[in-house]
Amino acid sequence: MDTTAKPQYDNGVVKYLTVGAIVFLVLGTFLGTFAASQLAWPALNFDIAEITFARLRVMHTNTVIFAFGGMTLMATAFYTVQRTNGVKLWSNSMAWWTAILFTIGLLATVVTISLGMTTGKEYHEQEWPLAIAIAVVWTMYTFNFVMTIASRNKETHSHVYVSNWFFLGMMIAITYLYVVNGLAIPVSLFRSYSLFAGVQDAMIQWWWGHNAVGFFLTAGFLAIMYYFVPKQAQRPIYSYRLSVIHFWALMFGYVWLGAHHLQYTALPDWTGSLGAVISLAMIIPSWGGALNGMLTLSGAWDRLRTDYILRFLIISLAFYAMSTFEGPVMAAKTVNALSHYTDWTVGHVHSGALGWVAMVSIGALYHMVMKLWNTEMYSMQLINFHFWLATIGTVFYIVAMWVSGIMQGLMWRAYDEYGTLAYTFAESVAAMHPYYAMRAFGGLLFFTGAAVMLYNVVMTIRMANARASKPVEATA
Amino acid sequence: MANHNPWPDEGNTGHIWDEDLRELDNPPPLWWMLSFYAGFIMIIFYTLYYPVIPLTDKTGEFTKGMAGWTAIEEYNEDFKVLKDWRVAKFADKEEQLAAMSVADILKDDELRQYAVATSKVLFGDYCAACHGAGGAGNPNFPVLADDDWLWGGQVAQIEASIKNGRIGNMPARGMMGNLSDEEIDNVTDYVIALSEGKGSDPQFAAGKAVYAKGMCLACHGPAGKPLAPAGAANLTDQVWRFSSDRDAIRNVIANGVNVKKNGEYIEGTRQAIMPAFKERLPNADVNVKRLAVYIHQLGGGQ
Repeated sequence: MDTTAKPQYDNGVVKYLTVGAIVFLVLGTFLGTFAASQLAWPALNFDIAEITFARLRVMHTNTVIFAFGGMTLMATAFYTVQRTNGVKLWSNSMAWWTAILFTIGLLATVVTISLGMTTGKEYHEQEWPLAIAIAVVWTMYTFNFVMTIASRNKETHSHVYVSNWFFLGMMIAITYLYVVNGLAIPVSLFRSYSLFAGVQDAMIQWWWGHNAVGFFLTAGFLAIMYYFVPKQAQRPIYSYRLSVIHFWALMFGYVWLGAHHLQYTALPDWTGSLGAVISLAMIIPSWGGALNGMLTLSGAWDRLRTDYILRFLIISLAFYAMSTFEGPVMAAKTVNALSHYTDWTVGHVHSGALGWVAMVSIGALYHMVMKLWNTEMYSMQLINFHFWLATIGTVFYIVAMWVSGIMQGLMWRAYDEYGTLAYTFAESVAAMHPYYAMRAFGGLLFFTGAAVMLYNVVMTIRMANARASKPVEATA
Repeated sequence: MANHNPWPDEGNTGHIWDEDLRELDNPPPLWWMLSFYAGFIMIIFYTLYYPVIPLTDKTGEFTKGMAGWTAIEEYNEDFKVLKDWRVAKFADKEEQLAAMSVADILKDDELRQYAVATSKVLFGDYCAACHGAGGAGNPNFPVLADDDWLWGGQVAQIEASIKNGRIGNMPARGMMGNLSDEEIDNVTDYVIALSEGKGSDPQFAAGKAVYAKGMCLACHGPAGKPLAPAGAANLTDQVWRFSSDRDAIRNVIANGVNVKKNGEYIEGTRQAIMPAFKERLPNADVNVKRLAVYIHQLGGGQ
């Protein structure tokens, strides 16, 4: 190292986004637990339109995916792009505007959905004025990120670090997918109609919908993995070549998968088959990321005993590997015929969302809190407690949905000796009740873990601030 | 990235970021690489076997793979197994159901049992949402498992109710629409007394007079029991079409059932319509009969 002093980075906006992400994690998992409880005990709808399941579920998905996930992506991208390129943000004020406007945009989305304003497009529910605002904010985020990389010293940083590729791929893909799926004809301030119709509309919708998973929730979080796993483990990435190959395979492969959401519908057969076969071909590229992260720990596995943050990061990779195997299997027509429209899909999404996305985020957020406030955590034991709550909660959730989903699929297709349906739809609903209660319990555990995290982080920041205000130890 | 490499012997690529981020020059594991290629080879074979290529042939059909597979054919084949099963085993019974009257079906014990056995899910998916599982009823929707029938409990009457639907009508404020609020209060008390067998008590005499003045007896019968089943409720039992609550009963008398003015329901009127299921059921010719027989045996058939 020929540098004498550590470079100074723009940390304020990252601090804001880090705390914001944790607040939205608590809020989002609360809404999810509430919605899950409504399914198990419908009286919890209270006959209040603004919080009936139909709206609450959408408020939940937007809060966890876009508010929590989005703020985590922004926090980690702004944090890592500075450090891996050795420069401050290209524009700190633009980053602040991005963070503030994104928060307002997402809060407005959740409120308008509660009021019944929706495009009806899954994961793209906000009406056109909000959609345009969010697209602009997203572009600001992307532009600032690109310009920061461009402003690096090309002598000392001739190569761009792998986490930046994944962030960039995610930003570009999300921009065009979100914009194309959002194309609509407005008829009033809060009402618009999609530019596409019929099965084309469905196909465009799932082209976006699957890549909200594939890029937003996968590529973006692989970027997080590629920075925070080697940092936390203090080990080099296992294989540079593996990261190159699986990066390009995912970038080219993922955008083809959307059709697997529309098997056995009006979609032409070739489109569904194409979606299925590329899905199957994505198992190994997906595992490339999980493998590279896991093998990075070679020679450091013992650290899992003592490093609770590393536990979050590594178990997230295990869930990632599991759900990227499960997804393609469900995309295959034979399995899809049973699994589609059942709770199995919901369970699969949550093994990815809770097990992979939330766990890797939580690990990264703890890591950033300690670095940004230059402190130890208030309580490492609470992190361990959070780890077990989150892991057991996730397992409860996905096991309940596996059983319930497969049971639903089998009940719907069962025939009796007369060749008539063996079960009424209502009977299949009634049979789900114990599993819905079990799922709500799993969600409650996960939510409790998030609340413990928020408490731990707040106490950590208070501790750090109290120490910093003492003049003797005020060394930045 | 610094110019010198603090970890010269670990086999890294020589690039170092953020003090200690670095990558090793390891090749990907062999099994991963082989599986990766196998994935692409699988795509080729899958593409040949299944319809993946978006080209159309001379007839305008999309290219099929070598397997000739289409989703609709898979569905038809699956469904054919079921149809063949039904035809092989039950074609004669289905024909009998189509040809015979519901009354005759009821007399044929074997056929009746067959109709009941094949109705369970039909009833559950089409009827139970309003009438409850097993016809046990729901608030504001009639019970089908008791012997209290608005439109008659003989199997042919049940069949007619399912087939063509039923729309009850009760005028607001008596037949002439001229009952005062006080009169409505009195007749409400009288109707409740009737259901408790106390209609002759002198304290309800005023209500009894209103019952006559409002011409309630035209439909509900002189003693509160309709002379023939034509949609009017029997007032002498404890079974209430809508609710046993006094305010709800009073509201029905004051605002009637299905009362419209200028094509719109008037405020407070009870809306109660049984839809015509000949338009809603699949294979309605047979399934209406099947359900009539099923409902008849739920407990209240006459």
